[in-house]
Amino acid sequence: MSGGAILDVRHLKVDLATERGTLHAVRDISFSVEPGRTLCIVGESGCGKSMTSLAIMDLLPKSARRTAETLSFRGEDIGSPKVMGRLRGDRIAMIFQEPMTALNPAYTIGDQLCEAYRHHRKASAREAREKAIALLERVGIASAGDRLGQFPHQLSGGLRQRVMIAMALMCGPSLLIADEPTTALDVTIQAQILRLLAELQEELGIALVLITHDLGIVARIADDVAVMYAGQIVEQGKAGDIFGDPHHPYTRGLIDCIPQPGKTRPGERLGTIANTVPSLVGEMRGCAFRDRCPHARPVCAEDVPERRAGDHMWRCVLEALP
Amino acid sequence: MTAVLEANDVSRLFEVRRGMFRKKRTLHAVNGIDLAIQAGEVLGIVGESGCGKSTLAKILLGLLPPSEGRVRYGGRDLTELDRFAVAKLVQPVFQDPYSSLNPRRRIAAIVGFPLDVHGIGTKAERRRMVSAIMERVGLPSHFAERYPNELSGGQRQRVAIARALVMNPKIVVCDEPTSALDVSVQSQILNLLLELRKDLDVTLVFISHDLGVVEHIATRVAVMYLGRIVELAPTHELFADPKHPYTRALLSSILTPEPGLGIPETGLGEAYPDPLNPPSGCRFHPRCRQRFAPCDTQAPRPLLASGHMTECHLHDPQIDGSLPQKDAYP
Repeated sequence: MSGGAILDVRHLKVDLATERGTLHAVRDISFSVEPGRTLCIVGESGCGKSMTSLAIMDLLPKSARRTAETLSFRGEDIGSPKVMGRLRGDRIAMIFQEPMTALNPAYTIGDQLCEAYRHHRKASAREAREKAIALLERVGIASAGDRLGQFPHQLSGGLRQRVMIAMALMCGPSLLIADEPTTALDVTIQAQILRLLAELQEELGIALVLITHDLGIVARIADDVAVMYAGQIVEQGKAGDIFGDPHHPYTRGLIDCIPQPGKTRPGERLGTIANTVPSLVGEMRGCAFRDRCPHARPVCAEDVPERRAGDHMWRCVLEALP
Repeated sequence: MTAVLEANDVSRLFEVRRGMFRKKRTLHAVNGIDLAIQAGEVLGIVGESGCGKSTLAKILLGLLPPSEGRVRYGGRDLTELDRFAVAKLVQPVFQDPYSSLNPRRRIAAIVGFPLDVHGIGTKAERRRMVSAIMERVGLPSHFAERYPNELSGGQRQRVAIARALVMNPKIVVCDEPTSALDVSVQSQILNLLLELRKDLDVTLVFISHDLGVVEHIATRVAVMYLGRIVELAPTHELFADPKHPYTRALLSSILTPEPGLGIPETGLGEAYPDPLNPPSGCRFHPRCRQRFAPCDTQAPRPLLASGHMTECHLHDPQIDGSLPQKDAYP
């Protein structure tokens, strides 16, 4: 799988120093993404999905420590800050959740769109401007030329997110990491932005890593899915397998929590997951989900086997869910 | 069925000044809404941000007086009732359980605060009522002496629900009660609300942008667009046979967790209009694929057919349906 992979992450760990001790935000995860495919990393708050994206981009907070056996982009070691500095914003781009905080309020849209392109491509102001207008039009912004002179606060949330996407595409990246790109938007705008991302990805052959908590988005856009829980990938596989035949109790639990037309009857009790997420501070052993798992047994307190069937992986003592 | 809460032609205006020397402009956040909330129902209110759903919630809660129109609780006008009387009838649950609970008070004090304010019962009785309602919403009794920051998001939302229910109100208005919560916690809160509604015979107004959740919990759904209710129908009917083109677009934007279906095209070309400068005629016409001759000049009237209300010229028998269709998105 890693032969054709554009991004290869092996044994990535992120530790955060806190007052109470070391918080293991990402605990040894591995995955790879191939060109033209979409990998969705899904999980609830605090599962380490955003830390994973920041770790790849080398944008972690100062209190964080990152270790990885492999962190490579097309064979280049992006664990090196120098290599990453050259690739970030050029070959690898990122879209953040809240476009209002990710855009600088003191600079115009045009300045911010052109900055990375002029830096990486040594392009003239005019070339950059033309490129920016073309991309703003591509992401569906009308009268793009006038928008370049506007400031972020003059745009609506949906437009800002389109600007963020255009900005990420300025240098024609081969890998795009999107962290909850539509969470702050209305459902109607969300559908538009996701369609746009899917279209652009197909058109430009970009590899997309999309981080989200929304299983609806995952089902509709992902080729491959990684389910994260307490800093680990607990299940990974093709979207059809994850939704059609989940093997980890957490994945099954998550799917049962959401109302599904045709499957759950209105007003009926929804599935729940008991208890809360364990603390990630200090040493951990065994399955992190065992306190909440309906199938837990004593053996779950010991090391959990990693099971595989083709490219479907899950971490559970059970070979199949009852 | 009887209406516990009625709004007749209710509007709320805001004076907005953009910049110090610019002229004030009027924003119609809520514009001529008629609504009768029936005892025991779960009324879902959906719409995009800026459609006025939270303003409507505040009006129903008596927190914001309407600029025009009347709100009546069980036949009595809102203006005749004082704040205490209104609070005994309607209670809120807000979106963010982190900012809606006082961080410096203990959970028992937060839940019992409405009882203190209204001077209900003796101290011992109040304590009993607090522990009864805390148990009912699934909060262990040892939480009584804790502070909000010691609780998780889901537990805090349970505290907010307990505080709303301790007064035994007729109606609870929930404004996006689960949007700040993780899915596994969201389902717990939805289950709890459905149980409480049955056990305590309380009427719920449930405001949300998540149509999947609304379909699950509501018995009737109102769709709002730019300050007006454009469609109102029993849930199964609205989802099975949506009449307004906006409702259809909204429903098509739901992403159910079914792989292989791809991402829907909502057909809502243009962005949400500026509420300070609403379109003429039908306020939805600039984004509507099916607009025709009367839509940009004439406001549609509410049409009621067997409990299903729609405001759209397409369904009005008095409007000539053979009038030429206008090009979508000029």
